[in-house]
Amino acid sequence: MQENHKNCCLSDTLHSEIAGILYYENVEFWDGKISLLYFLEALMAAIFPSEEWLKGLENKLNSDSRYNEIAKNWEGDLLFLIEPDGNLKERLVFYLDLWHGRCRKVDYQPDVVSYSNPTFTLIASYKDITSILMGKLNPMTAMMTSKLKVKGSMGYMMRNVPTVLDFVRVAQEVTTEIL
Amino acid sequence: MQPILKIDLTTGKTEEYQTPEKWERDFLGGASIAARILYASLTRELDPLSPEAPLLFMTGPLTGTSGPTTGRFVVCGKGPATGLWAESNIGGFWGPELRAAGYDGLWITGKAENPIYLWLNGNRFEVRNAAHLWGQNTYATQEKVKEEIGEKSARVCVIGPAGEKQVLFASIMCDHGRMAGRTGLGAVMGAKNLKAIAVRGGNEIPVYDLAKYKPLRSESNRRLHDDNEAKILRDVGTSGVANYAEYLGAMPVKYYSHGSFANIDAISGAKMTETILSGRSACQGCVIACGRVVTLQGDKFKRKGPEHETMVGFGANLLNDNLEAIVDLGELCDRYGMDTISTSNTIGLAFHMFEKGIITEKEAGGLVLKWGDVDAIEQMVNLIGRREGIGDLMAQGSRRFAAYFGVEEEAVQVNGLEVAYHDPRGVSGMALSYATSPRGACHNQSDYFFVDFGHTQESLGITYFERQAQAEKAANVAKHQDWRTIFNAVVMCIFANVEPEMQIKLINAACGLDWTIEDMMKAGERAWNLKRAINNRMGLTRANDKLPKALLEPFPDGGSAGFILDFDAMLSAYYDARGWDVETGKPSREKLVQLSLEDVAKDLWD
Repeated sequence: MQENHKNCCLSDTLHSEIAGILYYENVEFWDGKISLLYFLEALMAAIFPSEEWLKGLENKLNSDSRYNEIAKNWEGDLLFLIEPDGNLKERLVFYLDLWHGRCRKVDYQPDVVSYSNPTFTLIASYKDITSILMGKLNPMTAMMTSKLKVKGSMGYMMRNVPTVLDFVRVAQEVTTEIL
Repeated sequence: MQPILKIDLTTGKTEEYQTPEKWERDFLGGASIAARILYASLTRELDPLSPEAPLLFMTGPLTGTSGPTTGRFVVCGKGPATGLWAESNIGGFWGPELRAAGYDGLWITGKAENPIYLWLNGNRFEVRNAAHLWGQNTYATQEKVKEEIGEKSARVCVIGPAGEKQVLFASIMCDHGRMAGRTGLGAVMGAKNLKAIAVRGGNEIPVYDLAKYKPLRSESNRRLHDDNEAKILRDVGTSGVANYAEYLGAMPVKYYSHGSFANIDAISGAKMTETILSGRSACQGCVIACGRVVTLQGDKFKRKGPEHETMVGFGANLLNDNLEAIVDLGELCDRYGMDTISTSNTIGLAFHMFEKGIITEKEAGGLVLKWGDVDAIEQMVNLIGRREGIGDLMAQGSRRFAAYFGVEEEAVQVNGLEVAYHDPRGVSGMALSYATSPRGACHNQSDYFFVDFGHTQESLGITYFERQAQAEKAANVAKHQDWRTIFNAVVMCIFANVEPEMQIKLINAACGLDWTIEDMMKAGERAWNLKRAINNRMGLTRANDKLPKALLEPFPDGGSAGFILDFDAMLSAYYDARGWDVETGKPSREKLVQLSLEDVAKDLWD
């Protein structure tokens, strides 16, 4: 558990939010009896990859005021195709419909043909996507070195880099554990 | 290698020059081998605009082979504005055509008595009268030369009126819009009365092991076609990065005084794609096609669209958010044959000096230099291109222009070359790129801003440092410079996101080598140090490795507001990484010997 705890990618903001909740619940913080990770999992169930993680991401995208503001002009859905690698034995597919700073829909492991024409299709290996989620791989590096392959309008992507980076921030903050 | 054709314009004599095999192995080609060839003749005393000054048009071993983005060549000599090593990389189709004509380079010296152009048709060579072309713009000259020689498929390198009048940042154009823009080598052509060079060839371009090269070429082009960066460049051109650069505070605004431009959306590559883009253009064999073709509102003509430097230079730099005006201003510079970076930078300096009261309406020839005033900007371009009024002073470059009014420190230039539009306050590696480039403030000898954006090369040890990290990234910058020096040697476009592992395979197959990546990097380091030594011999010292005042001050706004470069610490770390002598700024004797440059070590240290 301690090891997993170290792998958390939590921003200062999220630490503060969680600390606030824990205080409200009158739970002693950092006492070693109840780990922070336990509470994060309970609150957001954010183990990647899982449907709960995707739901947690949806909730966070809709409640994060910074993301809501930065992404207020974004119009486009994302289809992620994560290729098997390491602990991932089968291709992982997940879908997010992002619109004007909100997440309108998510879909975990859908049939790819259900989303035949997304605004962006993003393809990466499990190793690379988890490196991004853990903050070990800069998302711009992933894109520029084609570790994260992008199908869709690169012009739109480049115009909206701040939105893309903040989407990654939110995803990192939601991710508490990698399988 | 194929021979280089030496042409003495004074006598009209020609001879074939064969590069020594050792030099081919040590330097590959392009700008690197040009530096080796010209090393002895580039002296401190040499006037770059004199008949004695050499001008070398040089291809590389990959030029014209249809490898990834390899339709390129370089023009090399002594820079008329910098007095230092000058090289300028150019795309299009001229370089491949020269190789198909049986030559890897043209080495030009002397001065013709009257304006002439050269016509190289396979093995046949002619010197032709160009008196009637003198004064013609770059586009018209290409068409007229083709018409006269009766060969529509010929490729023509030309200068415009700016080169003829020896504007010190005059460029050389080929293929209707491809420019050897930087370092003013168009003025050197003009000083030789050389208006144009037409070439046509019908030979196979030599590749050492074509059977081995072909599948590598196919695979690398296939990968490049699908590469994310290539997609960005194809979709939105080089100015597609503008929004991101502005967001980071890595794009200079209002002559490097601000780091934020609120109207960036109005002029960026994305906007161009959405509004006026009507096509794309590519150099020989290129699968990226970053060139923009645009059609303005109410206009039926297809024009060249601006790349990133022109977009920022005539846009954010001058507080102009009129995209169509930027297209016009870029084209106007192209027709005169002037580098858009140096032109827009020097105009920005004039506006800055006007605002500070250093120059007045009187000096500006009655013009009121109000930021964002497109008419005033256009008039300044015309004055420079014609060398009229204040334009005659500005045509000497920003350093001399500012010095004339006693404010040299206001000019944003390094060693006489105007700083490009990637601000080191937002992407700090550019501080060293600009300050230590062998040709002045150049963004192409090391486009380190891409590394600061996140584009690493792990197999070369070029890793990621935070974009505003400083001394700790100095060795990384040096490695990146060495690597980019290889691009300028083979000659390959820096937009080719080709993995070093593939790059070395292509080089080995094309040249009959058995190099490792380490060998390749050493060849890059060798040429980088040779160019440094050339500059040392022409008077460059550590005191020249500096940044202009404006870049050492913090931006008041934008994504890099408040950040101040610790340039001295960066430079010291860079010297350590390079093995250069702190006192003199020369590569150490040991370093030169280690790089098999014993003769250069002797010249510099004995």
